[in-house]
Amino acid sequence: MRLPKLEHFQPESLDQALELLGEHSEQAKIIAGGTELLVSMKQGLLAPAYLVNLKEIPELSVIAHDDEKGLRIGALTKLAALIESQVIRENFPILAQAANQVAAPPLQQMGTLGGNLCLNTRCFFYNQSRFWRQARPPCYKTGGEVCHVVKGGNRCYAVYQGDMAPALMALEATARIAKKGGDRVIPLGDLYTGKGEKPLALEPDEILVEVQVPQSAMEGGGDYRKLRYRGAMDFPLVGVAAVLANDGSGMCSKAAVALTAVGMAPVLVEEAGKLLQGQRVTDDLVAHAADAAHEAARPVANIGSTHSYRRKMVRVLTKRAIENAWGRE
Amino acid sequence: MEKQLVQLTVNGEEHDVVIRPNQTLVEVLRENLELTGTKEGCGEGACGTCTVLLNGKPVRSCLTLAVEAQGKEIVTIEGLVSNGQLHPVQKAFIEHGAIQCGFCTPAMILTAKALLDESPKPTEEEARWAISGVVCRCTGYAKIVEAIMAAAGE
Repeated sequence: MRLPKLEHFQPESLDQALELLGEHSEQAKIIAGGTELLVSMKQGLLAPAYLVNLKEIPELSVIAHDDEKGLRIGALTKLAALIESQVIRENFPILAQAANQVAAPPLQQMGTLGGNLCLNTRCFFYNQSRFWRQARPPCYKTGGEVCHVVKGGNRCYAVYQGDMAPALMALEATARIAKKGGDRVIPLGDLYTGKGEKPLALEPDEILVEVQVPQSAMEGGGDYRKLRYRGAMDFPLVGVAAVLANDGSGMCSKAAVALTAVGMAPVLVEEAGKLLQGQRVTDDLVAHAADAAHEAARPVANIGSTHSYRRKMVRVLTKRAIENAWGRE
Repeated sequence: MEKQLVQLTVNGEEHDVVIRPNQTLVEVLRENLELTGTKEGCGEGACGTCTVLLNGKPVRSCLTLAVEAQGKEIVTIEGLVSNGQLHPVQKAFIEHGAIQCGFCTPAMILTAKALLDESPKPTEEEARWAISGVVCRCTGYAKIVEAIMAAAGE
């Protein structure tokens, strides 16, 4: 399969990259690992005239940790580098755990943290070749006015399937977004619009440059559970991240549960966190928190398996993730 | 779209190649350099048969732009023979019948070589995880894992 025509830019600094994006914004796309973008281009889903390649900008792939400022991970950090990083393994193991469940080792060598966070939403009817898609009228995601999954649906229900976002959201991460003339820092959850058609709250001239995790997030134990058909390669059918902290007397001082692959954006299940916080972690309470996660999940039948099975598995995996996270604490 | 001149280091040899920026590494290896040992399967990064080593790590050459491979060490299956001798992993694949149709074999062997370069005595589980990104459509995985473990034992 061939790529469409393109011009390739290899900026050597972030400023240069922002300059190029400012100049070509609507017609340009950022390429990091390329494992998603190039597939979409081959399938005729995207045809940017310019690619701005971030791979040669060293400042974007730094992992830095100090006790005051917490953890900073550059967006171009390879998933493999996250998995191997001593700092991550010792202090934020849930991130290495989630990264190690993305695709398979060769793709972890290519794929980046920023790329995984900025994954486009996916759907059986969208992630197909041009030839395959020609058999049906265009859907909301490809500029039409029909959803092939939700009959009578008035919007796009394509699902967000990144593995890193729920783990980072459970750690209260923030995202630093750069643009020519100034940066902004937002809670990671705000990076997602919840719209299947346009899932990211990024302007065409903006770059996600860094993810920051507060030092306080180090206190808890974490776990990421992923449902998929095969032990490798597959995107999640459901993903659940849980982070819990023990106040030392057997009470849960802090709790966060986040889901992926069950809606148009990753979801932080605030209700589950509230239920657990300040309580003794009993089987009953875990079951209630799992119910809250089940309630927050809204999968539709647009990826593998059935939506009802995926929704049921949210409850099961949330329970396991909470128990494992608490056990590690 | 202007063609450009790039230098690629493939199997230790430098090549000056004139390419288009939308050419992937597998296209340049096969079409410009006529190194047809590297196979293109799905072209979407799912099957892994286009695997080559980039600075010693297995990557998908169908999702790597050739322009990005400049200045990096590229190793293809053709590069494993030294002084007319097959690489120990290649020998082990032959001895253990780890080849059926042969289409995934270059990718399996390169992935196995990268694994053994990094950890010479992997467990069977590590070997299985290392090759989990490469699909053998003949489903001959058992023999492939046996061959990797045998090569590791040498």
